[in-house]
Amino acid sequence: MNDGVAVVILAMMAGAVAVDTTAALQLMFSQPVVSGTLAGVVVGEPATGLMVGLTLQLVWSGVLPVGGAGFPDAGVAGVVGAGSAGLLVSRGHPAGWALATGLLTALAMGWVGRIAVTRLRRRNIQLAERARDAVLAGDLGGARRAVLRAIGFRFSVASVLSAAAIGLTLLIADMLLPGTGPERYPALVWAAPLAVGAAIALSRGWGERVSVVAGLAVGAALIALM
Amino acid sequence: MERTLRAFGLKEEALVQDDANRARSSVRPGGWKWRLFVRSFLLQAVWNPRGMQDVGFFFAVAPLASTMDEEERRAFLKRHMSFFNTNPVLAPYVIGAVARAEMEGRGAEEAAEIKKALGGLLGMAGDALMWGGLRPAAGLIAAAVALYGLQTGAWGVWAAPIVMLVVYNVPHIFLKARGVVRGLDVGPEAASELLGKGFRRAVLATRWAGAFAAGFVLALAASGTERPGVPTAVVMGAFLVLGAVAARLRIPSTLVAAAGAIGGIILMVNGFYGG
Repeated sequence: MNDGVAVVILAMMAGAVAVDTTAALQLMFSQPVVSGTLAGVVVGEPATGLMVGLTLQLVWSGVLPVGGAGFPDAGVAGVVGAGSAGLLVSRGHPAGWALATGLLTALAMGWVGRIAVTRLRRRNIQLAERARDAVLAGDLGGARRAVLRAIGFRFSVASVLSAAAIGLTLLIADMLLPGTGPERYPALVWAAPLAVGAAIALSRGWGERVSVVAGLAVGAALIALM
Repeated sequence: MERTLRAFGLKEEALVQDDANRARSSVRPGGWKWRLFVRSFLLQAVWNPRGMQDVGFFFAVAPLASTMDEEERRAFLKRHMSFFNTNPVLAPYVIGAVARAEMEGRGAEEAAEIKKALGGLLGMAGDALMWGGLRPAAGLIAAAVALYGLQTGAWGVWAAPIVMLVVYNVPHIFLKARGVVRGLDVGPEAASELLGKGFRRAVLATRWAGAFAAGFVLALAASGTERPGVPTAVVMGAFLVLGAVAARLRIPSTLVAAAGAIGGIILMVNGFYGG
């Protein structure tokens, strides 16, 4: 598939994932392990997408999207990170560099997405006011229009930002990445996110701490048996 | 019954249902249940810092206006185009209970009270169960499945996303559907049915399941490197401590992870891949 076409498809996918994050459905297609894998499939690198997705899943497993709290746009970041990494692999970059670049791009996109979501939500105040005026004037369709517009804004902003992020990543990576490097996802790059995910679970209470240790023991036993 | 009423701060006379009312509400539910259920998926579409889920809640219950005369309708519109916030997964319990009160002509007296009392209660409970428990657990279990699959080739890449979607959405959709059905059938009491001892156990079970999966992932990750060696183990141990400290100090996990990834890349640039 042409890279340009892939970027357009990834941008549309990022828009849909953004809508699933909070605006509609919330079926968790917006979780990075899902969105990253789907993005990887689009660019023909599903394992790369899964690896980026699962790393982001661990990094952001403790984020609570509660009330007015800002949160990283994890689902969109999954699409951008996994899509970028997959495209870099298909362009001949060593997998290790592609994955590390994809992960960093995703972390940056999560942060940009957080700002974008906060701004869109402020903009929603106007939409809500207009809807309220219309409804109180007897126009029931005012609420429906506000819902559709808010979803449309969320989709469009996420799509445009994602296309720009992937395009920029490919451009910079093509210029800067060395031609040789590891073909695997280097442990030192994903060790930190994995440990962060476990640390979040460890920091919550005794039940969680005991469960982490139990999981660790079962995992180690399973590995020893294999 | 009395305990439930006290818990929600509602007046007894406003909630007591006679047989005639029950019969009347039981004639209508089929289509309403489906419409309220579907519309509840758009509750947060226009989420905003001022009214929060105000437009979404109104949109969910708006079809009820078509059954009202002009005067009732005006009051209904004003009543429901106002501040509302709760957990979106448990919101159908409120939507169902409010719809029941409106259908029985008690909306003016009860709707605001139901929204306020149930919204806060179910907001806290739903956040603990869904955002603090089930969603991280589903993600961590999916991550464990993903890593195990990648290391052993035991199953394809689709296993992890499917696990994530199934583990989260079976309870998610069940709770939403049950919320509408029970809310319409019994009103605010549906919430106390939900928030019994079993609910607290479910929250703990999801949190422990997530933590177990995190430990499992850590074991798989530590063993999955070609050259585990001391440096990788040291880095993972250091970030385990750093991550725990960051979580305590409320430092965003994004920053800690980015610092780790950048550190790893710097080492890679110097020819050390660490596994």
